[in-house]
Amino acid sequence: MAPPPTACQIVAEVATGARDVPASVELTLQRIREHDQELGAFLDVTEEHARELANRPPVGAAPPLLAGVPIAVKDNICTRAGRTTCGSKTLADYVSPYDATAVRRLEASGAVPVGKTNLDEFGMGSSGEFSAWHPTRNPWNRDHVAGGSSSGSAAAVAAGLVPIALGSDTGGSIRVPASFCGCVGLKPTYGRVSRYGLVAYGSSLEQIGVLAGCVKDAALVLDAISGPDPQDATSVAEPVPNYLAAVRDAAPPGAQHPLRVGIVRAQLDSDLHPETRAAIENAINIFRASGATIVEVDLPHARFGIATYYLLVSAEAASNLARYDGVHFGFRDPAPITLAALNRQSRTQGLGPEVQRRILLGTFALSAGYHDAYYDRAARVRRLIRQDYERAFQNCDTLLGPTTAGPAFRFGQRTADPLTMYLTDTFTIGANLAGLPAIALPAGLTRAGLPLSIQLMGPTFGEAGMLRAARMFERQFDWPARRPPLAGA
Amino acid sequence: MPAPIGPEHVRLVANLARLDVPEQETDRLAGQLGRILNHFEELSQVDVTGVAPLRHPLEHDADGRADAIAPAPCDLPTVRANAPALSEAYFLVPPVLGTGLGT
Repeated sequence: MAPPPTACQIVAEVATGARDVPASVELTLQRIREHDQELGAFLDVTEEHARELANRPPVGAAPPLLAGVPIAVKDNICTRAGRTTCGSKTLADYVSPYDATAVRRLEASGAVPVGKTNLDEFGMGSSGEFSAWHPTRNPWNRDHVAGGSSSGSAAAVAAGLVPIALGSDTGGSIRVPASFCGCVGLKPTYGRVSRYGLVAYGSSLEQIGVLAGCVKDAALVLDAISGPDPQDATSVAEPVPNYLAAVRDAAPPGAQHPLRVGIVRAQLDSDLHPETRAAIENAINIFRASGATIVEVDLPHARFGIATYYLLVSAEAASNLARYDGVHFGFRDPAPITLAALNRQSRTQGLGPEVQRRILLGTFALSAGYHDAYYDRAARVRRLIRQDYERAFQNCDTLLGPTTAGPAFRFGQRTADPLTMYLTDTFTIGANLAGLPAIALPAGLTRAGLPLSIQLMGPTFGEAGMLRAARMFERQFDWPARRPPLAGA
Repeated sequence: MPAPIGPEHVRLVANLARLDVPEQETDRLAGQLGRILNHFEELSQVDVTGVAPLRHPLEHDADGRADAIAPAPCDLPTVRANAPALSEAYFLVPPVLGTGLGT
């Protein structure tokens, strides 16, 4: 079977009439039917809705930005088609009465959502193992996790079931699974993409972003979903450049590019998997050979990131998830005869153990007598962490480092100890705490055949430059044609 | 900031969070949360004198939008369809007043 086309290829073929959209969407649906059982990437495939969209009559003379491109949507992003369960028992039957702005914009751009993808419950997890429904398997090795929390979106893209998918990233939830599955994972600047319709978990940290097979596809999707939204007061009215054009302008192989690439010595000296370290050293060499200057920068407060992040995100989760009360929507235990007991029992039965753990942790961090020592102190350290990045970006254009300390781990390897699981996000949480854009890029395979990844970060609203640097690396690396084996493929 | 978390804290916090923690689980959870909080103790090493908390990456006030009437993104029947129990247009809950059971 030929490798599935990229989103950019689909758009080009639709424009010339070489590709029939309904037939192409049918093929995607068939691919999902044939292969998803072994992966568990999807929670719901919305075939009827996809066919309806595929058969839309064209509007206007020029085909829209994403004409005919199938896309998968993480199941914590609201869609009227299909259920929006957030990977939680409490929302098992929940059907959103509206579409998220990102989904609405994608559909208006001609994209065809084909289904909802698996995730750690409400986005709380780094491996995909905390979905209330089923685990998502890593397409490169079924005994390994896909990474989380956007596990289904990453696995579906990496396996070639869909060219692109939406994910959300609160502390690495797009980039960690992109790293483990070997695809591109883009987390935009906080405020770049509307969060309207993203089910709230850590409101000051999360953004909707993209999982894609290549940098150009990620840029294309970002073009479609960026920009202010009257429905989200945290979306920012910053001008949206043409990201795809920015990526097309990227220096071709052989051209010398005066980029300043920052590296953080403490990251490279930390406990990295040897093949991850080698992948980063290789990336440094690739940038250097392209004429980039490598600059050492220091992020002195980065080592406090995990503590800062998990205190803040748990506090925000405790507050956001108070809405699951068994009254307005979500699971209800009908037995209790008092309202308080109904609230408690509905929450206790509807929410999974990791979600409950974070709610308890966050409630503790916010409670009288502990608020100043935990939540408030973490918020102050958060400012120091952001100032570190502001200083770093005075001396470099992009930061290069690991996405994760190593490749995907085996199922069950980190579920016994929550703290060990939290440490999976060591290198990704900085971008969320500081609100910065970041991208995970495929960087080869380990000898055991698992994907390796590097991460680039940019300054606030510096997506265009970051994507150009990403494209430069991708061109030199020649990865996108590689796909994991699928049974029967 | 010591992290003295015992079963009594778990019970208190669970009550605040409206979660039921079975009695046999409180010790295990106290141990687990205590271990996490112990790790977080490292924040006490950071000098935060004079550093204002950063609670949100966008510190400026949100830009207001025009106070104009716009169509609702969804209609009420679709919203109500997700309710576990309804009585006509109302969300149904157990009696709150006059039961002597408190809330």
